[in-house]
Parts: sequence; C-alpha cells; structure tokens
Amino acid sequence: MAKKRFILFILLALTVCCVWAQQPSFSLLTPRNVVEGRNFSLTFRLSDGDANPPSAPELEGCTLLYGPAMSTMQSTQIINGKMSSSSSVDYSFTYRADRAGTVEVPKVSVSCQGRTLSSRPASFQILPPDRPSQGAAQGQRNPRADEPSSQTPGRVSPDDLLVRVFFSKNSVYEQEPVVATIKVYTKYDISSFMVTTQPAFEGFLTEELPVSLESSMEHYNGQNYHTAVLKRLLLYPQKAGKLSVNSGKYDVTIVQYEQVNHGFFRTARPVEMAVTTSSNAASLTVKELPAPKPAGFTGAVGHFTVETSLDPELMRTNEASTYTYTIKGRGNIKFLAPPAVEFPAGIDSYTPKTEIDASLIGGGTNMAGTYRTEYTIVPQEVGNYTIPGVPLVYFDVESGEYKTVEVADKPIKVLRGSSAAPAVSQEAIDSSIDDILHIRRSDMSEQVADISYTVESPLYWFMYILAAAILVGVLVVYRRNIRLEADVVGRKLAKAGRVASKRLKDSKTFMDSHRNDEFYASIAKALWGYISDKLSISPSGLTRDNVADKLNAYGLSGEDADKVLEILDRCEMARFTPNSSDAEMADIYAKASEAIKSIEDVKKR
Amino acid sequence: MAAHAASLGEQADSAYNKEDYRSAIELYRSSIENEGRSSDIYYNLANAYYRADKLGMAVGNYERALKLDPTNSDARANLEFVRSRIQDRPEDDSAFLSNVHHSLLSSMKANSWAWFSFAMFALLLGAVAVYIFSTNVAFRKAGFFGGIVLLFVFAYSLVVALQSASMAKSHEEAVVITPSTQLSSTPRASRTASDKVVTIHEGTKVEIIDSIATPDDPVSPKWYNVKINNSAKAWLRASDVERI
Repeated sequence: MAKKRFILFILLALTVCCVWAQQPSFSLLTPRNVVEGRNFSLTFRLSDGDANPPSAPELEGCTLLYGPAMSTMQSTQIINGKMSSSSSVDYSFTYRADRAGTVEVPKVSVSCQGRTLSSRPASFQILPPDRPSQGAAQGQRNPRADEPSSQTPGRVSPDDLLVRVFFSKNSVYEQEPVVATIKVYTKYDISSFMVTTQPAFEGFLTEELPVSLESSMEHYNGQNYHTAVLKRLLLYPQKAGKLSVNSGKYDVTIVQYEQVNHGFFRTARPVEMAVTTSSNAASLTVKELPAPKPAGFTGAVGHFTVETSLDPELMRTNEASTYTYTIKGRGNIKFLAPPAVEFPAGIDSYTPKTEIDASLIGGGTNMAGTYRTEYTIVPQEVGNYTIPGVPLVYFDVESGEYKTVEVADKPIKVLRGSSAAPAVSQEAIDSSIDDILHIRRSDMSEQVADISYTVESPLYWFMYILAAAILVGVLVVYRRNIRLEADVVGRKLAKAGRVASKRLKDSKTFMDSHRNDEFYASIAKALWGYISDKLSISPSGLTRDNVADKLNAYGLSGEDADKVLEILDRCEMARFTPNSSDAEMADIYAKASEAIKSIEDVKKR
Repeated sequence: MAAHAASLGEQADSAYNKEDYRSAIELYRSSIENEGRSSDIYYNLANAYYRADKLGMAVGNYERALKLDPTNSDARANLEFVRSRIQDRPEDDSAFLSNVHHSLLSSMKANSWAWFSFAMFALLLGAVAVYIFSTNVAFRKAGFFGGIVLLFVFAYSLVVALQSASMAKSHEEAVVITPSTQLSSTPRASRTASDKVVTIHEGTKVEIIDSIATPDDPVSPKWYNVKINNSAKAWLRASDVERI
C-alpha cells in the first residue's frame, strides 16, 4: 500500500514538472462595451505562471470599485496516454462607468519568474444611457438591453429588435469592392433566429466573409442594443446606377424576463416570444467607369501586375509546352476575364485552364491573389514564332484612371521533335475557303479598244464563197474532162494534130526563117520518119515506089496515099528549084500536116 | 525605256493587293477607257467591286468578262459565288436542251465558234468532193452520209457563232446596282397603293426590251421596260440599273 502511494507521489511530482515547463502568458480579456452608470469588470488572465497580482490600471471616466479578485482554474487532460495540464489565474477589477466615451486600457505588466509579462493595450466604449422615448411620457418605461428587469413580457416595440443592412461606402465605382454587413440589434436575448427571406444582392457579385458570432453592445438611435453580425459580404457591383438591396425577413424567438415575486425575494422567469421582423432596404450609388473605356479593357478594377512564363522554353514539334499568364494584385481578381492570348498559326492551343487563388485582405474589405491562366500549346511546325503579349488594362480606383500593364511579346523557336505527329483526320481544304477567287494579272497586251467579231468581217464570208467556188471550179474541170473523153473522134483528131505538129516542128522553124533548102529536106525527112515509125518499116525498106503500096496496105485510101507521094515529090523538086515562095512552103507544110493527120486517123478507125 | 512603266491595269492590281479597293476600281475603269477592254480586266474590276461591297456592279462586270470570253472560268466561279450572296434568287428556267445549248455557247469564244463553223464547212465540201469524185462505192457512201451530218453540224455551229457574237455585242441586259429598286407597271414612280409594285434587289439581272424618256420624272429621266426571268415585264428607273 505504501509502495502505491509512493508511485502516486512520483506521478504527481512529474505532473508539476510538466506544468512548470509550460510557457507563461499574460493577457487582457477583451473588454466589452458598457452602458454609462453600470458596473463592469476588467479581467486579466495569467496562464501557466505564478506572479503577484497586477495593480489596477487607471481608466479614464471610470471609478475603481474593487479589485483584484482572483479566481484560479486548473485542468489536466490525458489523451491517448499523454497527459497535459494547464492552469490559469484571472484577476478581475470592478469599475463603475461614470462617463460615456472611449476608454483606453493601458498596458499592464506583471513579473513572473524574473520575466516581465505585459498585456496588450485595448479599448472599449462606454455608451450613453438610453434616451427616454415617447413611451416614457405615458408612464411606460422603455425596456433596456442591460437591464432584464425593465422588460415586460408580451410587449415588444419595433425598436427593440432591428436587423440592419449597411454598406461600408456610399458611393463606389463599378467592380470596386464594398462590404455589406447584416447586423441584428436586440434588447432581448434571442433563442432562435430563422431567415425566411434573405436580402437579395442583385447586380452584385458576392463573396461571403467570415463572421465572428460574438455579440457586443452598441449605441444606435439613442438606444443601447446587444448586437451580432449575421452576415458580411464583399460585393462587386456589376452595373452602374443606384443598386438597392431588398429587405430580408426573419422569424425570431426572443426571450423576455418576467419578474416573479416570491414574497421575500423576486426572481426573473424567462418567457419566449415569436417575433417577425424585416431588415431595412439599403441602397448604394454605383458610378460608371469613366468613358471612353480603352481598347482591351475587360472589367479589371483594382491594381494588378502581370507575369508570363513558358515552360519548357525550348519547344519541339508535337511536344506540349505550357504558357502561363499570371495576373497578380488586388481588386476583383476572382471575376477577371481570361486573357485573349492568340497563338500563331502552326501552334495548336487547347482550352486554357484558369486557377484563381485569392484571399481577403484589409479585414475583408478587398481581395488579393493571383489569377493564373495556363495554355497548353503544341507546336506543329518547325520555325520561329512570336506569342503576342496581351496587355492587361485595368481601372485604378485610387487614381481614378485606366492603366495598362504591357506584356512583352514572347519569341519562341520550335525545333523538330522526336515524337511523330498524331494521326489526324483529313480535312477537305477547299471547303473552308469561302471567298471569291483572286484577281488575274492585268495584261495590257490583251486589252483591245475594239473587239472584232469574225462573223462580222466580210473576209470571213468571202472565205465561204471562195471555198465553195473552188469546189465548183474543180467540178467544172472534171465535168469537161469527162465530156472530152466521151467525144472520141474529136479527141483522135486532136491527137493526130498534136503528132503532126510535133513531127513538123523543125520544118516550121525553117519555114519561119525562110531557109528553103532545109525546110524541104526536113519535111521529107519528117514524112519518111513518120511513115517508117507508123508502119513499123525500117527507113531502108521504104522507097518512092513501094511507099504507096505500104500505105494502102496500112489502110490509107489511094487518094490520100497519092497526096503523100505528091508532097514527097514536090519536096524533091523544090530542092532543085531555088527561090520558091513562102506561100509554097506554107502550102507544103499544111499538106504534110494533113497527110500525117490522115495517116493517124487510119490507125484509130 | 529605263524602267517598264506600269500600265493602269498593273497599278490597279497593286492597289487591289494593298486592299485599296476604291482606287483599284478607279484605275481599272480608266484602264478600260484608255487601254482597251479584255475579259480579265473586267474580271478584276468585278473583284474590286465585290471587295468594296458593291455586289450589283460586281455581277455586271463578271457578266461583261464572260461576254468577252465565255471560257473565263474564274469569272464564272466568282459570278456563281456572288450570285449566291444576292437577295433575289434567280429563277432556274432552263430545260435540258436549252442547258446543253447554253453550255455549248459558253464553251468557246464567239470567234472560235466562227472558225469552227468554217472548218465544218470545209469538211462538208471535202465530203461532197469525195462523194462526187470517188469511184469507190464505200467512199461515196461515207461522203454522202458524212456530208449530211457535217451539214447539220456546220449549220448549228454557224448559228451558235452568230448568236454568240450577237450576245457579246448586245447591251440588252442590265444589273440592278442600287440596294433595291421598284418595278412598276407604268413608267413612273408609284403614287398610289393601287400601283402594283415589286421590289427587286441589288445584283439581279434584267433584260431591257424598251426604253422611254420621262422628262417629267424628277428622279430619273429615263425608264426601261424590262423582262425578268424571261417572263415578267415591268418598268424600272434607268438610273437604278447598269447596262452590261
């Protein structure tokens, strides 16, 4: 038994060691607003330490009534076999609020284990007391938020429970952030709060802000109320003009205290009561952004900077790169339009991905962060390209003018990639061209002042006549030939004449040149030669005596044969009688010719 | 010549390529006036008009280009394209034979048809000669029947040649150049609701049958009696159309 106690003691001692190991801290519990004339307490808390109580701070407009009162708290926890413990000491000072105003609580220090711990300075308000209203004249007291005994169950004035909507600014530019607060003001405790109709913020983009559920006291319209923030919204007006918020409706159950007299003492009994209330309709003046709006302005309001990057910088065909366009800054960053980056032909881009990382700044009065747009791009062709920098134009509310963030063009070089191009479905090329064909090159040499038409020229028609005439001419000649062929006698005669004139060609030459001797000799020679040829008798076989018989045998009449002989004789004679006349020569020539013709006729008959 | 002086047509080409279509139109027009006509220059002028959003003038000049050279395929393609952009749908009237005739008409220039028909005539004479002079029966038969066929071909081609030349020379067609114009039953602007009028729009082709001087009309001193789609006859203001 003694052994067990010993172990317990060791454990306790260890616990104490652990406690001592904690870091001590000293702080002021945030004071709440107080109504003038009421008592209130200011509490400092020393955690995990041991010190002399602090001295009471001097508060302006307040009278110290009592203090410090000390209360000690200690807790030990064992979680999963791990023990932790904490201790704290609260020092409370009780004051009376004498005068309305803002009270600054100065820094208060304590000395703990050789170190000086200080609380942070803080402030709170002493609110003036409720103004008496018309009810007071009728002997009715207004209920007071800080005095449950002043309440009358079942009687609620509209002033006792309010829901207010208000804006942080009365006049803003389009897209300039403004905070709207919905706050409930009550003189009673609230046991349930139901929203039946939310106030609608039309014409705004809204961003809900976190609210603390702590209540405080506030002086409003001469009355003191318990207040709590229901909702805080960061609003971005989307259009110019007077934007109003319609009133919301709320079902509230309030708790009133009824004084119950028990004879010796009185107690307060809570009585619940359902009340319906509605908020005020608030409005806000939204100024239009100054005109003219510069080109490229897409509604960014605030203050922004732009960064672009390309990863990887070295691009290869059919290998994806990421082009990132990052907008940093404060303003309506969540509601920006994606930048209209246009990639050159030969670089395929896919639907950009947008990431918005924004957080509240300035106690929820604005937003700051990044708006990142990522373009996945895949170059298709080798070459040098430029990704055009898209400038960001925004409206700076502070200076009231438009500003442009220039973004530099990004030159890129695309090398041949190793991966093969993905199989693409073939597309008809010409179907995509929906336009007129291009002009032809103007050639002056083809231009003529007067265009001639062939059918109008007489020459053209003359050619028809010519062609027809040629055919007709050919036809006529042909017809004549046929006719001549049919006329046998005439043809034979003509042929005989041709033979005779051919035979007598030399003779005619001599006759014309009056060479008598040669003429007669040639006539004789021609006749002898002709008969020889015609009768197929050698010239040596022909004589003056037998030629008549031969000719007769050939078929020539005796008369004709005599004529031949006569010519031959006259030729013999003429050779010995010079000075024969030209007429005689012509007669001989004609006779010789007739003789030859008569012989020619014999053959054909 | 040190440097080749650019002709008006070439200057117009470069204006067109610089997308200065108004100057291009002016230059092409003065080129046509001073340097003569050609199918291509009318085609280029029509393109410039189309770019300057004057569809009526574009249609008219494509028609002119095709009159000079029915084989100008670019002009035909662009005319089809521009026709598809105009508001009034032209009526498709042609029967099969008429279509064949029209496609034959447009397959060669008028002068080519003239020479073709002369060649047919020469062949016809040749066939006649074969028939007359040949002693071979087969040749004579071929010459006879071939001659008959050639006679028809020659006659038809001569008709086509004459028609083609007269079409090229005629100025009996016009194109509406104002955004819209009204056809009335009488050669005056409609005054009462009882005057029946029809509205036709820019780019529509009409055939001019007759014209009448109307000195009393303050807007247009001349009215044309026109036929549309080979059927409807009506009057319209001469100032609203451009003769091709």
